Amino acid sequence: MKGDFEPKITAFCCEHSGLLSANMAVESRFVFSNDVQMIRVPCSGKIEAIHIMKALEEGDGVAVFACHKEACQFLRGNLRAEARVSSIKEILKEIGVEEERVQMYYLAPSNGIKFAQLLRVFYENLKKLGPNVGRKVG
Amino acid sequence: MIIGERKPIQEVLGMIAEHDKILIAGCGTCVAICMAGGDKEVSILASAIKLARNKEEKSIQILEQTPLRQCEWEFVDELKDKIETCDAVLSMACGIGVQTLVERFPKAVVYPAVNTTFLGLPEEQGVWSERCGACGNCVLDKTGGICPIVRCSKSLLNGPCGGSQDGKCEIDSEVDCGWQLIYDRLKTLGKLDNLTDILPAKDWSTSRDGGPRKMVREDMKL
Amino acid sequence: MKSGSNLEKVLEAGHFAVTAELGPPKGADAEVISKKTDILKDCVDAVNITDCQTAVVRMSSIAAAAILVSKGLEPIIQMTCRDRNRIAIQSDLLGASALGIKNLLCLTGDHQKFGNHPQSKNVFDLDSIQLIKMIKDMRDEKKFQCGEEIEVEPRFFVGAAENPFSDPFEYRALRLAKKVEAGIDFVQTQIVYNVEKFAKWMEMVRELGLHKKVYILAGVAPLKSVGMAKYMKSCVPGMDVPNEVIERMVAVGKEGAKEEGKNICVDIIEQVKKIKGIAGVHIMAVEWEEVVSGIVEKAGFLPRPKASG
Ligand code: SF4
Ligand code: SF4
Repeated sequence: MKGDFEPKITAFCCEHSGLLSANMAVESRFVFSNDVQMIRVPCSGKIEAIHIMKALEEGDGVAVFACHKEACQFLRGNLRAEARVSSIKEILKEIGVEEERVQMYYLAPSNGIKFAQLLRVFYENLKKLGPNVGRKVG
Repeated sequence: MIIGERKPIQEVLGMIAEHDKILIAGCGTCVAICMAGGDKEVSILASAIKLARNKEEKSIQILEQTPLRQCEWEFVDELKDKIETCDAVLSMACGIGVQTLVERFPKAVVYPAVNTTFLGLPEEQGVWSERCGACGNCVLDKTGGICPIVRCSKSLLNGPCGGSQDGKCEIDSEVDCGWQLIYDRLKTLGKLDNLTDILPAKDWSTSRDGGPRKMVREDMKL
Repeated sequence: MKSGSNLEKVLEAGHFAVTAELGPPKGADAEVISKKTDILKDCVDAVNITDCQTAVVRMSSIAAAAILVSKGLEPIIQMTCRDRNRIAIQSDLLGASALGIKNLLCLTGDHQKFGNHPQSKNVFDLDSIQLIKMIKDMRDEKKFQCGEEIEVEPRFFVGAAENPFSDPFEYRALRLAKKVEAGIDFVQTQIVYNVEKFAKWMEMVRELGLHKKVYILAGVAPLKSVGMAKYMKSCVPGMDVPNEVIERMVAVGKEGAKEEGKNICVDIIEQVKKIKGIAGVHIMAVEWEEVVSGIVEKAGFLPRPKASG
């Protein structure tokens, strides 16, 4: 039943934006389900394509939270992350897995509410998509 | 270096459809630098194949290994154990790497996962372009160091043709006219005189047209 | 006489030469060639037969030319480097000569990318300059490209095309000098709309003394419509159509376009005729052959000289 399905999400969070927001979101008691695995990275540019792919092998969706376009501490890290995310979307399209399972979000450093909202939307979308058919069986 | 590009995944999936355990073998030299078949690309392809096969409920076991070079016997020997336990090998090296594996491991089934595209260089991050056609008889001394064989769309030795306009080739306004580049370069060098000599018909027998090529150096033989 | 062709005789006698162009059909219909031959006969000295122009497959230039010969109109076959290697070119030229064809225009050839078989392999074993040299050696040295002797050599009046409007502009006359050195007898230029630029190029040509070594025929072409003018300006590499020409076409509206196209063509002929070193005009009206006689008449070129001997 799609209704009972709880998507397993991996969220890569840049320390400078996503993570701060995530912390705020927790502090202000937006509660996440156990199925969101938060991975902290010093910059979204450090997230390799393979990390996202591996997360997809094990789960239903991957969200990348990065700083706003001009606000990267490492100048172009978030642009690199964006390029990687779109290359993965291409691969997913090629093999017929919904590309919406990977999503890139941009955040200001301390916007817990926005973070929680975006994650919520992502979660709802995944619920609609249902389980990732490419996920490891068993 | 040799430039390559990963094949479409569906094409690769078609090649390995019958196999349940494969080795994806990368190469740590040219194709790693042009990001077509190094260890990173090997792991991404492995992951994509797994996702695709899970989707078909036909799971697959994938081993990964990327020797420093796939175009020399000594370097590919490290793949031996893995090859022996697998049904097939998917090579992410250039066409030379694929054939090195075929020759070194005659019993192995080897498929190409990369299209070998050309001999060239990275012009900027993410952009590669052709520089040499391995014609076997280099004329760069006459053309200011710019290759007319591959940088002119028609391999003209006495260019430019009438299609050269605003520095671009007639085939595409994105493609530089090789002969405009040669002209500019010779002008800078003060050697425009080079262009008044007729370069005679080329001897293409040193190129692919002469049949499979082989080089033997008696002085280097053991 | 190098070839004894009508074109050669007309030029040697000091007449202002007129040539036209004929595109063979995209099919095996000999009738098409015969009809076009009738249209062009008696108003020009010789007719270029294109060789799969723009890389679109058409009836072979040599075969179509043989039909012209049989009907008494002199062909100039075009030969490109795109589709044949030196073996095929020499073989075809022996055959062409045996069929009574006496004029030949050597071209690099348009790249196949924009033709109807963009996936084909191209040849470019030779470039146009090497092609000229090979043909001159066949005729004058009685030698194949490899150096072997030819018993009965093919005798062609050899021409080349040159585009004064492509880049680098300052090199174009020098490149023509290479073609002259390689062995051409005449040149047909790319279509001239920008007479001023053309005159500048001719100045450089005269500085090199090339006009004394070869006959230079200026290329002209009547415009059919404003659309064609604009297309040529923006989409054909190496084509220079000045705004004044386009404005003239716009001014007359749709109905007057063809007539004005003809008028512009005649005007350009008048202008290029006055340029020192121009020995003739080459009128390119492919798929509009019926317009040629009118242009030739208006320009005062009729009747054409009867070449004797
Ligand atoms: S001339 Fe030949 S060998 Fe030299 S760069 Fe060009 S293709 Fe390579
Ligand atoms: S435009 Fe330049 S690069 Fe293109 S075919 Fe002509 S000479 Fe070669």
